[in-house]
Amino acid sequence: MMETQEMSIMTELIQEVESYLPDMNGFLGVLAKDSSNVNQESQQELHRMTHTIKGAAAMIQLDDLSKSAALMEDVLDEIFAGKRSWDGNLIEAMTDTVLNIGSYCADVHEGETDGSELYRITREAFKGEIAEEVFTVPVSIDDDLGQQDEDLLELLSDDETDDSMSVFFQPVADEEETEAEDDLALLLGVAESDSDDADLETLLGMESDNPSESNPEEVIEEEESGQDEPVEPDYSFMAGGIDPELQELFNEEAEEHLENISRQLNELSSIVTERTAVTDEFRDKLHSLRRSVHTLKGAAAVIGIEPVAKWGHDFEDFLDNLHDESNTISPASLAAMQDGADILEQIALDPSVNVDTEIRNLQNLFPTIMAEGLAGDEKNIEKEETQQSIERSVPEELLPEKSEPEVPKEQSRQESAWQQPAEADSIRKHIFGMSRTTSGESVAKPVTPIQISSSANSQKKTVKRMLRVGSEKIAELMGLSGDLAVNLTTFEKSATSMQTGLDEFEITLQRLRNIVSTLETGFKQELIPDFGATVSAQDEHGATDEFDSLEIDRYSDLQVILNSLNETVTDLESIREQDLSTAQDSWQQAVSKQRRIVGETQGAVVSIQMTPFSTLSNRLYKTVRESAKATGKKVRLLIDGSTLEMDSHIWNVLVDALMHLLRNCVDHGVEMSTQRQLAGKPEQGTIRISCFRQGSRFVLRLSDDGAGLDYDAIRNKARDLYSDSDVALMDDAALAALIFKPGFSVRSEVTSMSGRGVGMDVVRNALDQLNGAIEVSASQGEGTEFVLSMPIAVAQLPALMVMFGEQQFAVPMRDVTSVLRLSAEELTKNTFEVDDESFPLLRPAEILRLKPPVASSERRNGASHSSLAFAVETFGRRGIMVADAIIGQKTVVFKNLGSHLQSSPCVAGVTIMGDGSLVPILQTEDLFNRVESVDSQTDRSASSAGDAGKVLDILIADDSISVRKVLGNFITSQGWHPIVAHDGADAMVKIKEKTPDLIILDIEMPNMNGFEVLQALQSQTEYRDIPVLMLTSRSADKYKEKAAGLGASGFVTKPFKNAELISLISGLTSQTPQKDSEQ
Amino acid sequence: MKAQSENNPAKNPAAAEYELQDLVRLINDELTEGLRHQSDDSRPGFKKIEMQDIGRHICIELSGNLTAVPLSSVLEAGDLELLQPLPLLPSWLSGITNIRGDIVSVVNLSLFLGLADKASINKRPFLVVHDDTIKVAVIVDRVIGTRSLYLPPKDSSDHQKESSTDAFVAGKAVYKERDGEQEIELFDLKAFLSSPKLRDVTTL
Repeated sequence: MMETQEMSIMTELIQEVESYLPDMNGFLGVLAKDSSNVNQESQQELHRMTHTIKGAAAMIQLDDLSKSAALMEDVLDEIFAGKRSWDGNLIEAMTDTVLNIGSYCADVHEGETDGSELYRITREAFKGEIAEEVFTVPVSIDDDLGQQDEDLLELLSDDETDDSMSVFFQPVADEEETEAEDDLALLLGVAESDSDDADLETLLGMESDNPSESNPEEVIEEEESGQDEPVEPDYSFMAGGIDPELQELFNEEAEEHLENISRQLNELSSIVTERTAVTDEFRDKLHSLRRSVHTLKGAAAVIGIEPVAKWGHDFEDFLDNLHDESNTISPASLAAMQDGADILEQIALDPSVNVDTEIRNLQNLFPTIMAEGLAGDEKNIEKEETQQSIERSVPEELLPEKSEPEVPKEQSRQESAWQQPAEADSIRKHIFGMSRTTSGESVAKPVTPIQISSSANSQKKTVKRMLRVGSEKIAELMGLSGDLAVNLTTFEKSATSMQTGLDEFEITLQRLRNIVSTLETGFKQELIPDFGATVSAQDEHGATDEFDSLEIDRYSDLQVILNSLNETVTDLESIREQDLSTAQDSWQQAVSKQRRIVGETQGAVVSIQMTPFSTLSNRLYKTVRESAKATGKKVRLLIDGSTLEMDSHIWNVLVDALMHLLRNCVDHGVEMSTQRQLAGKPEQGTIRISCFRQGSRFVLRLSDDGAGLDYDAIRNKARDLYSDSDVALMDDAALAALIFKPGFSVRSEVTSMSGRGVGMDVVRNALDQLNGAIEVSASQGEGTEFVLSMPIAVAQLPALMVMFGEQQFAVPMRDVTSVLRLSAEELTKNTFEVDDESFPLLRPAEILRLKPPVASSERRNGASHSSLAFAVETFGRRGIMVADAIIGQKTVVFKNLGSHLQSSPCVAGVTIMGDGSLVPILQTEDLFNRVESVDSQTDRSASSAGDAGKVLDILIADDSISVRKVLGNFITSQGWHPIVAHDGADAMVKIKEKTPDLIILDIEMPNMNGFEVLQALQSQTEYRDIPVLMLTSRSADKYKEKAAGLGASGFVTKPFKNAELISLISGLTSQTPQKDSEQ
Repeated sequence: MKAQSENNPAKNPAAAEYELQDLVRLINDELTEGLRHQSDDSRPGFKKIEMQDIGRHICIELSGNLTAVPLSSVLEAGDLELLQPLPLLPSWLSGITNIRGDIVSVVNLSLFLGLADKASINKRPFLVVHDDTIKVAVIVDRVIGTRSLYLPPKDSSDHQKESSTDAFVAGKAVYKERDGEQEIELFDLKAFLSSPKLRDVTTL
């Protein structure tokens, strides 16, 4: 217990010391830049930190640290006293000592408390810089120091100190004695002669006779470090209150770095399936990884998140080792790194979470992994090759100089613990502009002024200001940008109207100009002899009588009017040119510019809602890792298409479903390593996710290479839920579908992983929310594949704008393979041949029961025109779609159908047009499904009158085009499909082409009259049951009787009443109209 | 759905001429009037006692029936201008519309409630009603205006559910007119918005 407490105190002290080091280094760096410009405050701060390190280290018997700090403090005292000044060598010695203290701290973290090297190195660093007397600190201890104090001294000093107690009070004779004496002095925290007594007394717990004599500041410090019970370092600022703003910044930065850490690890894990030589690529990833850990650690330390700073430090050491010294990397190394990253993520998200056990386990594991990595060259890894690759991957300035003698391993480890050797050397180089050999000799180089970056500085550089905005605000913005577009369309329309008006104005003006010209010409040629003959009164009085008409103009009233007209025309031209045209041009330019801005705004708003799949990746990788760990299996996850961007809402809904699927794949799918090896599979199982867009749908395939679905187990479980007979009828697909049933699990025991039967139900629910679908297929022993597909909620997609009936649709271009023209004959068939391959001819207008345009109906039945069509392909199904018109291609913004109507048959979503109107986006796949469904229904009940909701094909045979048209429109308005025939013979042809559901037949027609048609139908078995409704102006009973006798089902006289006709048709076909006739 | 409109357009053609903009103005006038007469209980037909104020409602007319919808559940009212029918939907679900970039289903309330077999929707007024999860535009025959509704004494407001239509009637209330009180049915918006018929649209 005591040991643990001591260790805890020591750890906390070391962390406190480490927290000083960056500032100390920073101060020295500034001094190195300009030693004459000493910041007194920084210097005092350096002294304070050194003093604190010295005293605190002495308290817990970290002698080397205390003594090293004391040496520094002595020098600083001399500087304060004006006995010496800063110079390059001194700064270098100080910097080295700070770096060495860092290494020492790292060793202490690792349990290596024998720090004899530190003091030796420190003395070496200061050799020649400090006068001998500095080492011989005069110590004045009262002779009457009691036994109690001696006991305390014994307690505080180590064995070595005890052994040398006898020489403490003797004059210094040699270096060894100096060291010994210094030891005691430092142990006692004594450094200055004028405060020796006070310090010692304080340290020994003795009250000073005259407290005022002591330095109050020092007394306080010594009190803090000199109590009987060790005082823990003050982390109250961490627990107490981290500035929320800083915390927020840290969270954002942490998110970024954790994501990078996870990404690097995931990429590494996709490559490393067995022990592999560390290549340049690996090293790059490791470098990126540890840089993120380093930055995260620094940021956490700066704002006081102690657990992250602590673990980040240890984890970074491990990564340093892998990066710098490992020759090989193995799945075990990766697993350790991933575990380390998981811990880092956990404590970054919640610093209060207890991860002591996990940390301890990893700390125990790290040395083994590091040793294995170092031993990699013994396993046929070409060290030389690896070294070359290291040299290629590490920047030249960070590589140890080849001429350097080999650094002892232990020393190297010490250095790398706080600042890796290359980094430390790099710092030295930056500070002093010189490189340094291990012997301490230095080669002077010009001083390059640089600033050592502290954690705070690096944090400042990497922090990005982010703004979190509620999704409802984005949606509102989206709506407003839509409004902008709609309003702009109104402007555009008015601009177009204005242009049209201007054009008409121009034409009218020209006409006016011509009229004036004609009038003038006519007048001059006196083609209008009487009009304008009256001259003005002035002329009448003969003021110009003496002039010939050729000598002077005489203006009649008409001429004056003509002149006036000419002037008006000129004025109008001027107005048009100078005002209207200019205003129109400006308006057009402004509207055009506004259109561009609105377009960009809409694009930007849409992009705000789009996030890549990679935002889920980390959670998915982690799920697989944890599941693999829990089941003891070896599994890796590979993700393709992680850059695909979708509405973040989709990811939010989908992530839980994917995690459930992954857990199931690991738990149920992937086999244990031994089983896999027996089956001839790689030891490590692979789960692969690939996501992509297909037309208006987002598709995600998730597959594993495991054992596949256990159909026997599913069948057995199914017997608990269904009767044996039902289960017996189930094929593999039906059995596979059962796994999505709520509560269905083949596991008899509930574990943390599975067995509750809720996982796959969650998957189904998530897809229902997204209006999606899931299919599962499995091959015994080869694996299982889930295909999830769902409409894209918000996305831009190129689409072919077409007309089906009277309604415009957008067909995703992804589904369209070509556009073609069908002849009238081809249109009548149900299939279309291309290169000996037959494709079904799809008529969306009919399938969707859309109102066909009358012209189209006439054209179709008149069989005299060709029609446009386009070939489609989706999910392996191909067909030809007949369109009533093809408008063109357009990039549209996909929108879902709103909060209520989340799905609609054959409609994936809608797009908003410039005028605010909506155009449905076709869901091609659903259209195929519906065709197949209708076909199968037709097959099942071909002879029946038809299912409810059927679109009736009604043949109208009448020689009057007006009747055909009126009746045709009426039939169409009911949602039925009219087929027209212009006489009895034509009717028979149409009936043979396609059997109608009902015939409306006139009596008096050329070629074949209605009765003759009735007779012909009755004579043919296949047409005998078609209900025939006679529609005629003949109302006499004898006609009715005749028709009834020939098999007519009903009789209606012209003019017919809509309700009566509907009632008759409905009665004969058991069908009701499909549409609201008033719409 | 038995409360009959006294402002039936057939009887009062002027009422049918009200545009929504006029209604907004009327609503403001009514609010002002309401404040002015807040303490005035001398008007004929005003029963101060035993009347519980249940807040302001939007009063609408559906196939000749007067119905009230809580104002707090109505997001917007307007004339339907853009309607996009969608294929294979039941006749009461007229299609979808675009309300400032928001796609909203359009329900013909008369057809939904079975009050009519067919109903034109062109240029009909609509109300956008909502709950926590969905938002729907309902087409109505006429928007009369907003009124403060009061629950009459219990003995006269007992509501017996008699038909399937009545499943969406929460009870009866009255509002004050200059010449007395007008009885009106309270539309059960919660029942409507959570009804399986609305939620689980059966496609053709």
